[in-house]
Amino acid sequence: MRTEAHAAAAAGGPGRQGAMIEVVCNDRLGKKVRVKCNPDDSIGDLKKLIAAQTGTRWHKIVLKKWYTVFKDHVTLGDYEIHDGMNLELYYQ
Amino acid sequence: MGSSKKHRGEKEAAAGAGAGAAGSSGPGTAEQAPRHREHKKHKHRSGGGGSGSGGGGAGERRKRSRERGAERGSSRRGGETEARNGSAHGRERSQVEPVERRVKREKRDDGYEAATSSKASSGDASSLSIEETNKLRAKLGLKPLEVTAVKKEAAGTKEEPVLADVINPMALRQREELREKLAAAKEKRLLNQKLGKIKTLGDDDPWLDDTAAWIEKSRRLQKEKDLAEKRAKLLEEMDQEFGVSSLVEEEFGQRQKDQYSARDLQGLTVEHTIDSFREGETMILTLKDKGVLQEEEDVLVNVNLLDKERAEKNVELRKKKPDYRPYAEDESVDDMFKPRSILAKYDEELEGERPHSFRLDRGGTADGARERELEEIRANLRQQAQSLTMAGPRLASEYLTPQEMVTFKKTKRRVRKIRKKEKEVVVRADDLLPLGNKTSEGDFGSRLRGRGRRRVPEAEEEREAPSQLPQSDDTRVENMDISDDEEGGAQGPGSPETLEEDQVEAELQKQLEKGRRLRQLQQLRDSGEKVIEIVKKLETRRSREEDEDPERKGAIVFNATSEFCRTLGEIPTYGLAGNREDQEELMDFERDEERSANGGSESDGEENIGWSAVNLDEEKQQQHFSASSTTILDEEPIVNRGLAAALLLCQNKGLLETTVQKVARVKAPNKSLPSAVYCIEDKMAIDDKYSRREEYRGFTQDFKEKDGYKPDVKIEYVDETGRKLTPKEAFRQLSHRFHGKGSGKMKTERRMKKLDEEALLKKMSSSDTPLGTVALLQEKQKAQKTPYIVLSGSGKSMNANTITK
Repeated sequence: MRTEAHAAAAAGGPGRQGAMIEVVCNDRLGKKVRVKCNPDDSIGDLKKLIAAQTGTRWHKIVLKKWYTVFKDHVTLGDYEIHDGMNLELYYQ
Repeated sequence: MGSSKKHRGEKEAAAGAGAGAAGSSGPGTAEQAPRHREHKKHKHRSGGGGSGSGGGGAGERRKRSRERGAERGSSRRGGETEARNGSAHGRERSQVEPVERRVKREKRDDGYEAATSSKASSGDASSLSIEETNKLRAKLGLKPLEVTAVKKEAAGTKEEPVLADVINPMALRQREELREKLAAAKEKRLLNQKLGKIKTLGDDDPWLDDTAAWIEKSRRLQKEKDLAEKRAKLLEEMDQEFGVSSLVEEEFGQRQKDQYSARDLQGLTVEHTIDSFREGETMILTLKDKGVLQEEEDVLVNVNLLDKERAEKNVELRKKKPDYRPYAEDESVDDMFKPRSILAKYDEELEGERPHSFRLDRGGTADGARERELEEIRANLRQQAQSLTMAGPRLASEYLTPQEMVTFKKTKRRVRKIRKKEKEVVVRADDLLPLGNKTSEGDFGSRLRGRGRRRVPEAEEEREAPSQLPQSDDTRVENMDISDDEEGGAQGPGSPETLEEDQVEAELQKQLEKGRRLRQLQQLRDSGEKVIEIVKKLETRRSREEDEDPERKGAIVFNATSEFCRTLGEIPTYGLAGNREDQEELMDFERDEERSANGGSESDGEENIGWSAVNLDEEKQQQHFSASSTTILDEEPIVNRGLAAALLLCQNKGLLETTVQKVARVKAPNKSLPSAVYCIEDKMAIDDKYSRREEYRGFTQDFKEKDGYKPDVKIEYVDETGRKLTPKEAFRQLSHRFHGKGSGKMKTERRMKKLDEEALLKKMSSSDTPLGTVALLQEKQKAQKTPYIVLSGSGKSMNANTITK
């Protein structure tokens, strides 16, 4: 427990800001994942992480935020995706 | 069994923690917190399960855990997914938990709760820890997460707000006060320093009140004076020693002596004319204003004079003299000497004003001697000058003055030549007689007489008997008989004296005339002969023929009845019906046949005449007809004569349709009326005179064969799209055509709308809603492959397209 707490603190978990963010991806059908990533990761990398966690293939994933489709080559920082943001998970 | 995945996860997490796999289950606890509440509900049940499985089933549970770390392969994942739904789930439930486990678990749960309190509240979010994530990233080929160990943001995050520094307002205020105090003290010090130097009123000299002090001060002053005098003396002595004193004295003396006198005014200019200074007048002259940096010499002016001059100049300007006088002549002697320049009016503007001035000579005086001399010279010249002006124009007198008369010399009057009048020749009629010879010869250029020379003998005769007038040509022609005797007689007495022209020509003319006359006569004779022949023929052929009018030989007579009969037209008049009088134009087929039968080859003249082949019978009839041509009613043709007669009877009775019924087809500019069986009878055509004749106004009968015929009249009207119209609409359409204009904008729009609605109504399906909901429903079901449809969420996220699973 304590070790966990320390780890969380040391790792600069979601509570504390490293240059690391945790993004929540939800597909409203029961799949919800929290993915830790850097702000300078691209959406494609994020998709890969999501795929690793959800068990799909990464190129089948479409990340959206209300009609805004996030493109693979743009970074999270450029999209201004901050820590704790919810993204919509779709499939194509 | 109703235990949810959540519970299982929690249990696993708890178990995992118990087992000491901190790293793996750390993130797993992340989502447990909210479910903790639920977990507590089911504590009695699941708690036991969790703890029971903790020992033995840790590894399994780890398998089934939804946490997917990097170390777990995909196979495990697959296994987990299956197992999730599998019945292995139930196994855990069956385990009985001891109570102490429950307590432990509670403790653990609390700990986890604390640890995970900072995590998100929404459920079911799986998450990896940082190490796991890093491992995953390494596998994927991404750089590890950037984690700064202790980097505290001032603001903090939503989850963990950081305490801001405590701002102590009291301390702040105290500091401020201190600062102010210090500043004030400093200012005071400075002021005091400044003020300390100044003596105040209250701070008097000591000697004012105290006499002793005053005495002391006065003594001191005296002493100083003495000292100063002594020093001055010493200095003077020193100066004298050096011999400078005399010079100094001189300078001082000179300054006093030098005074400004009139001598000093030598050479100064005065900017006025000398004339403006009058004798005995004192005028004060001052220096004219000059710019500071101007190095020109001084000029003296009188202020009053300046103003006067300016006023004069203004007056001159206001007089509006002509600017430019190109042909200005020298009006006086003076002007002759003035240099004339081009556009002299601009000189002042361009070069500046050049006022009159004079200089003061030696002693500061000036006299106008020179000017006066110039003036005298000018006056002399003026006197000597001759004016070139001529005497002005005077009104000339109409009469010569006596002086002018004197100048005239008396001239001889010339005798006028009077034109002689010619003696008038009294012309008498007798004189004209010989002239009449030439003038009264008539007939210039008459063909009958050649060139009029034949008349000469007549003229001669006439002269003898002047009363006899020359005869005109026409009368001569008339008097001529058909013989040449006269000609010969006329020729006889022709005296050869006046026959100047060729006799040959006269002869020629004569002959031509003769020929012409003869030809005419011949024609007459021929025609006459012809007539006679024809008459004879006719007499032979129709011996009983009446006397024909000789006038009717070649004439074609028209009259109304014949025209009428002609227009009866196609059907020839058979038998005895109709007018027989004028039958030249009638096509008598029988007659033709007879004619041809007779084989008479007729000349054109005979056909014109018309009565060709004649049957005896018909002759009789014709006789009858000609006799009764004036009767009104026609005799009825006898029906037993043949088909023709019967037809004629029918025609007369009106049973045959001979008239052409005029039906006017209305030519519609746009579209014709839709009903087909309809035609408009043009009543205007009735007014024609000739067309009216074709009507039959007689008795008509119905056909017996068509007694029982009741026509089924069904008039269908259609509009442009082909729809059948109701009577109301049809009438509307008709009235539009009649009046030539349709409905307005509003009306047509309404009609269109109505038509559209009708069309829609027709298209509507009976088994479905207008929007086709049922069809859509079925489509969706097909797509979903489910017999139901889930209605949830926003329309955008639950589209069939987006959900592929």
